Amino acid sequence: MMHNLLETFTLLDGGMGTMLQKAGLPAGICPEMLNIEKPELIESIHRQYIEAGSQVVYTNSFGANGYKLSDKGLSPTEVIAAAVERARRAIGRQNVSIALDVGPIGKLLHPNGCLSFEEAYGLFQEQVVAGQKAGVDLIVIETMSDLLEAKAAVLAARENTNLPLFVTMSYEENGRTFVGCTPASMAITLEGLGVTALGLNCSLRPCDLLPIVEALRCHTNLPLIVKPNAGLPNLNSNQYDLSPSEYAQQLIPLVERGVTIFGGCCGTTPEYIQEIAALLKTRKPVPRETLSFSALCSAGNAVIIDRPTIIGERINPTGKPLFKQALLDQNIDYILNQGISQIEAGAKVLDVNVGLPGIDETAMMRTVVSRLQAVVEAPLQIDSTDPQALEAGLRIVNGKPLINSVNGKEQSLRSVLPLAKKYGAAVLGLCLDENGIPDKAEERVNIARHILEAALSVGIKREDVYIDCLVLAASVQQPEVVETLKAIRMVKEELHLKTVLGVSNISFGLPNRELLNQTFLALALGAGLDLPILNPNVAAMRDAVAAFDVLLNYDPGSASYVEHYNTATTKTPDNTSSAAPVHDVFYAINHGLAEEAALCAEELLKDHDPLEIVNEKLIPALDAVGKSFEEGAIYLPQLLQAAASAQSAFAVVQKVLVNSGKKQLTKGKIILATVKGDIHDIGKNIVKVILENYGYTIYDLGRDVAPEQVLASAIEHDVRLIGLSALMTTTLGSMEETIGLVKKNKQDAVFFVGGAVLTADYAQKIGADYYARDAKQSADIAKRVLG
Amino acid sequence: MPLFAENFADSIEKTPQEEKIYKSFSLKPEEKLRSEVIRYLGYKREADVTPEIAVLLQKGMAEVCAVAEPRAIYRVFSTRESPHPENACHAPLSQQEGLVLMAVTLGVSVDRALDRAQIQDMTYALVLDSCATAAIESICDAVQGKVTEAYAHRKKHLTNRYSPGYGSLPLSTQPKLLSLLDAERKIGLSTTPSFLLTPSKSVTAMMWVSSLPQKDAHTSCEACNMHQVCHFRRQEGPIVHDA
Repeated sequence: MMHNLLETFTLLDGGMGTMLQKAGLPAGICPEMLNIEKPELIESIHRQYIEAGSQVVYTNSFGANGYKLSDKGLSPTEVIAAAVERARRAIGRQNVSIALDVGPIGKLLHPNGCLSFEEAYGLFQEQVVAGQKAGVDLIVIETMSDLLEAKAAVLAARENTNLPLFVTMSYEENGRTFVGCTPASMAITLEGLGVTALGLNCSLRPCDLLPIVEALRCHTNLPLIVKPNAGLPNLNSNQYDLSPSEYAQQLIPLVERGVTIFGGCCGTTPEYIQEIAALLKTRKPVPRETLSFSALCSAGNAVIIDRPTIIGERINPTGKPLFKQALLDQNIDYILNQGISQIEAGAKVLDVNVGLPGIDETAMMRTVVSRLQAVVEAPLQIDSTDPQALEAGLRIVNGKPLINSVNGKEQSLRSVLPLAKKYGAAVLGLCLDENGIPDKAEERVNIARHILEAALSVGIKREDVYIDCLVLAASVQQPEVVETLKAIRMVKEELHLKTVLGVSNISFGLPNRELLNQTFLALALGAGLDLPILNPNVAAMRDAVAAFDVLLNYDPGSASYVEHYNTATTKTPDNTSSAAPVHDVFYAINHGLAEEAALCAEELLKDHDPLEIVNEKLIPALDAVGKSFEEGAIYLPQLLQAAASAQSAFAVVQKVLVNSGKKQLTKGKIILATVKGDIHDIGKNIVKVILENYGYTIYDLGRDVAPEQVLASAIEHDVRLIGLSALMTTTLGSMEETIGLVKKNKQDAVFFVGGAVLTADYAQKIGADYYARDAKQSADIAKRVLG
Repeated sequence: MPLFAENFADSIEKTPQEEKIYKSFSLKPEEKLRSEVIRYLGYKREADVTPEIAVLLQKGMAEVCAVAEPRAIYRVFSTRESPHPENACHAPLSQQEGLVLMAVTLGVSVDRALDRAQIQDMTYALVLDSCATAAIESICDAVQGKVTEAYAHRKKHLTNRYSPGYGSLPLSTQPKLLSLLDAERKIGLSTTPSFLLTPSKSVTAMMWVSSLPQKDAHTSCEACNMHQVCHFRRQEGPIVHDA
């Protein structure tokens, strides 16, 4: 681009589709094909916009991606070359820039749809490479609704071209996109990813954009773009309800808020651009205040670090046998549950560490980040010592994460800082280097300073460098405890950086750890700690932060404090686990009383063997409930509730076994999957709950699972019994394909299948061994096959 | 004879005559919704709902009503084909009178809530899923009501609401219907390659416009050819036990 986008106005063009309709083309045709079929028409539209004052024209290539063009007989490369040629001819020798227009793919990404991040990346890559080759001046990614899709497009542009990059997204009246992205998250994330300018297009009228522009302006220093619609369409007249002059009028408040790049979307024509040009001639760009703040975000939730902010530490296998087992079994739901419960307990950011010898950490990081961000809205802290796993997480994370961690060692700085810069992440620096952790605060601050300088030198902003001054156990290095506190104070005062601290190490090796942890946390917060890393499920830790928020006036009117503790006092105390059960386990399971069932299991463990409890108590109770279900005496919700109660009793038994280093109980292994193409997996999950409670080990492969993946898992874990679910007629083909592939390569495989549209006859026809009408029948089949 | 000709979707004119978009529905956890949820959960009688499940039901309805972002669009088209008469579902139609296509979604936030529930508590997830299904149906009814009302003013009548998957109208018509409605841009609704709608709690449907009164303008189980075997048949229908 030719000029400073903040100090000069830039005028883009108006609607392409609107002009095509005006030219008499019917709705529903593929506009991109007109670059080839009606080149004069496209050229004349560009020419009209240039005459009206557009300094940048968007190529007619909004939908020119491999997916949308798949049935058109032409590649994106061919269509984009033609589109760029149309713009170039229209421009001639005038000083007008060509922007490669890139719209959404037209298929939703995980978790909203079936498209993977890397598939999306590949489609965008094809377009931007073609654009660069055809000689465009910049790339515009527009009308985005999913921030992750926008990120895939931005990375494709960043990694394959060196062109300036505009990104605009489409918002609804409620201030979010269709998939829930907020303007704050958009601004924070895209600025981190290094785009040139960002803003809004389509969807709304200029006057509706004011609050959204305001939110963007408060979260970025980048130039802002608005390219709104001309109001709402009237289908009879093919006109939109804002006239060109009304439209320009509505842009004035946006000019006053410092927007400098303008254009029009649906319903706008050269007359609208002319009006904007006239308006901008009478105005000067309004300077914006330069912002400086530290923030992390997910797509729907920006966390500004301006008060104590809890990072939940529980997604980490260190010292947690059940978590390790979950990683080995690829039991992702267990891990996700750790995330959800920490958020409910008050964590604002979640640390994600899935490193364990014997597993593919990179693949696991990708899976966990992808699934976790579908169920929690908290920003993530990507935690790994393996740069490859770190990058896998950074690539797929939807928002701006914090990297845990870099340290003062040259090798660490060299490998981690470029990743932070490239992916727009904040980075956590540990105060240690080749010589270990220094005893003295001054020396730790020196390392912090070194990390900061190295970060600044690769282009990372100061606000994005956080420092961990490191805690040493008071039982081992008692004199150094105050050095940590002193170092926090110095980092805050001398370097003005945010500080992070994993608090609970302080009490290692001493009794009443909670007391030490809580006291130390209060001291550290007092010294200026911004982000304590802790287990928010421990009330003492959460309480210390809540009290600190009141005392330091971060909780206005003590509102949160009062709300929480007024109701908390009426609750039963936390130590119910030591209470004695009132009923027996049979009653508890039958009535769906999960806590009671767990208490019963603890009681039984005192004088029963674990296996005996499962076989003689839990399973008979489940059988009785299952029988009632078959007889129609109880309904599915009760069956599930009973299963969940048995689950909590079962978990108590398993925990005892795992913690004592023994093998878990299992009655056999079963793979469950919802087949390729199918994303409805509630049926499969119901079956899973029931089977788990009969003591089977379940490998849950999730939904939209490719046949190859089922086969690979069956071989890897040596599983004979496989359950497949499909809800719709359109995905029964995948079911048949999966059965065929696995049976061909693993002859002992036995399949049971279920789903709304399946029948016993059809199940047999596609090669399944059993048809399960409901979850109870699945358990009967498992019993028959595995015992 | 099948209700829908094979090339049915292609016979719809591409340019709509009329369009309405709705983005503010009030969903309330009220009795009508509750009784539908109970039906979707498979209960035959309200009395069968245990107190424990009733608590989840209340929570589920409140959550769906709180997180859903219902959006709907309908457009009116002319079509070269009229549907074949079948099962006396409607009075004879002439193709000139128009076809109403509609699409409705609860938005992605409901899917996220369902995903979360499935990780934490499957019983609640099942209840929540039924609440969402009842909610999307109630929004569909609301849209249908608005269309019916609009046409009543013009002395026109509407047939029942048909959706892909019904009769001979295959799911593979979904992309075509969504594109006729520009549903991805207008209400954030799209389909997977296997024709499942995303967000998952969404519906596409159609109704024909007629100048003749329709035999069964509101939905009832008796009018459906699945009504002898359907698990979700409403109580007033004759109970037929599974073989």
